[in-house]
Amino acid sequence: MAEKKSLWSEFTKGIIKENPVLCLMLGTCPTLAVTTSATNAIGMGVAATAVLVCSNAVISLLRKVIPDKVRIPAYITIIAGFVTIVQMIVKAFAPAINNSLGIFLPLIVVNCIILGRAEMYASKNPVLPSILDGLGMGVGFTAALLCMGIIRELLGSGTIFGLQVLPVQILIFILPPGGFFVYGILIAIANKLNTKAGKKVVDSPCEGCPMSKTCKSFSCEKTENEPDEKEVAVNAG
Amino acid sequence: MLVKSLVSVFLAAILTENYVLCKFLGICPFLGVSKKLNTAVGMSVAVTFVMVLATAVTFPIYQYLLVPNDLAYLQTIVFILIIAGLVQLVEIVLKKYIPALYQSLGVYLPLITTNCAILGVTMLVLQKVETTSAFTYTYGHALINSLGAGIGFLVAMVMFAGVRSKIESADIPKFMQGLPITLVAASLVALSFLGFSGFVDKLIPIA
Amino acid sequence: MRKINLKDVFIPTISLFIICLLMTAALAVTNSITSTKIAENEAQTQQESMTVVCPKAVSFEEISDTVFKGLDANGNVVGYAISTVANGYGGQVKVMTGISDGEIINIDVYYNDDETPGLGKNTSNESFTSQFSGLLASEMIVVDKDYSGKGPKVDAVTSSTISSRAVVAAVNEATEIYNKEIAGGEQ
Repeated sequence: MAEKKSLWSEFTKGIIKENPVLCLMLGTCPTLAVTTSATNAIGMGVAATAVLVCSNAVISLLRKVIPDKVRIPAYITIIAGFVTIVQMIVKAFAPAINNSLGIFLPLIVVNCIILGRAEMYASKNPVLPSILDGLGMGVGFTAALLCMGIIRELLGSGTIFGLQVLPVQILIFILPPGGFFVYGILIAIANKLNTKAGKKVVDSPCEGCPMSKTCKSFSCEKTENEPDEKEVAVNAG
Repeated sequence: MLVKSLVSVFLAAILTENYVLCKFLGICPFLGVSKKLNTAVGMSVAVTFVMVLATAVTFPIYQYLLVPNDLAYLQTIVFILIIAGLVQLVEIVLKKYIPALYQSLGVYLPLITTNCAILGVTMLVLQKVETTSAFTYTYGHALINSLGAGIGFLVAMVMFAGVRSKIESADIPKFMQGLPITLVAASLVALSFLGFSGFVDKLIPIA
Repeated sequence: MRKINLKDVFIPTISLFIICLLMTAALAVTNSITSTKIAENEAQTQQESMTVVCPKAVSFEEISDTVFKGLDANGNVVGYAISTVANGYGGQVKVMTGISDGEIINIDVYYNDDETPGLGKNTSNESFTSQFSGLLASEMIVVDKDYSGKGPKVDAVTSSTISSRAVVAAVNEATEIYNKEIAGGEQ
């Protein structure tokens, strides 16, 4: 495969084929919590993308320096640092977004997409592909959030980006139950499309979880055909 | 007055401010580990334990170490490292001294470090210190709040495990099987918790 | 006894320590750059809010952290802006209350981002806040649901009684501060 094409595929795989929210079921908490409006969704998506790109770059750069034993705490420290930097920048230059994202801005630290990409990708690959991988995953995350945000805002408040579109409001869609419901329907659609294209469907949030290796055999229920490492690697490449 | 406010904080954390169903914290374990009742209970007990312990440590560190030294901006990084260290420590202590408990809870511990409910609770509890105007929000309130948050998590998990066991035997269209129907069920459970809004304020008025 | 290899213990510890140190240094730098801007933003939000609730004033004099004296161009007192906080549905609700001669001029809900969009967030809409204009600072205000036939009442925002109650509680706290610290002091 040509060098250029593979770099391009590092970027695009996160957007559709391995979309972190709709296909890998990662980062469910912010997906449900901040998508009450399209603006919030973009704010969250951009903040997470920035953290993802920076942490992927730094972790990839340090992948040979960080001792294996302390790699998880080291990753968490690096991620937490970038999250705080992004939080301070957002607070300074977009205070409205900081207010509406609230606690979920610092909670990007524990967003499994970021630690997951650090552990699965950035720790094994050179800097440039890692940056592209982070960017692609970030864009995929943002796109999925935006999709949820638009649906919930349109149905729940009758607006899109604050502009009045529908005369009716079905409030339940911006309340917590509406979040679960819209997310469920979106995944059902993604599953339908994936099965049509003959792809495997993920049906537990544990599969993409970076901690799954430690807990798989105990707590997370096994899916019918657990993909093994190699299969995942082939799919990713 | 003190007892009243403690009870109110405790009930609010379980019912009206349920971390899973109202605040969307800790959704991953909620969807991932709720299929069987025993794993759901084990996970919730481990979460509750770490939540209280983490609050017990982070609360004084933030109030008496970070804030007086103008280091509040280090909150995220300090808290996550404390939680990660604490989880490791608990694991080692349990393994060594209470192997029976380790057998039943230990397997959930590594998962908990990156559970946003824990970090969320330690941060939200500190926000409450500034925002609660009806009474002074003390260390005791913070601990009771995290205990309530943990029990709220347990309630949500147990309820949801029950709901999911019913789904198992239902005839569901193929594209809705698995996560989609689980999420729709979660939506209905969350709907039932909306009914609690305002409940605690009415039950135990503090003014 | 198992021999502990010093290298195995020290290298991970030191590298983790260095990473922590570097990240903290980066944070300190970012903080020093952004903190002034953040403080400015907060001051500006407060300033705007004070102007809304006390439109006659051209400048404000700080009496305490939460109480501000509004002055007109000639330096005469035209009202007071008092900032108070209460617990809403999702988190805190911050309200600025403008009071002049024992009467509420206007209120401004300048922070309610933790409330539910479309419900509790509507407490910052003028249709809700304008109900407070002209109410007497000496009386406790209640929302319509808690009304027992005495004193002033305001209509709560539809299906957001908790958020509405929070705003009312904050306004009541402001009038209390006014009655205790300002009205009493003037006589």
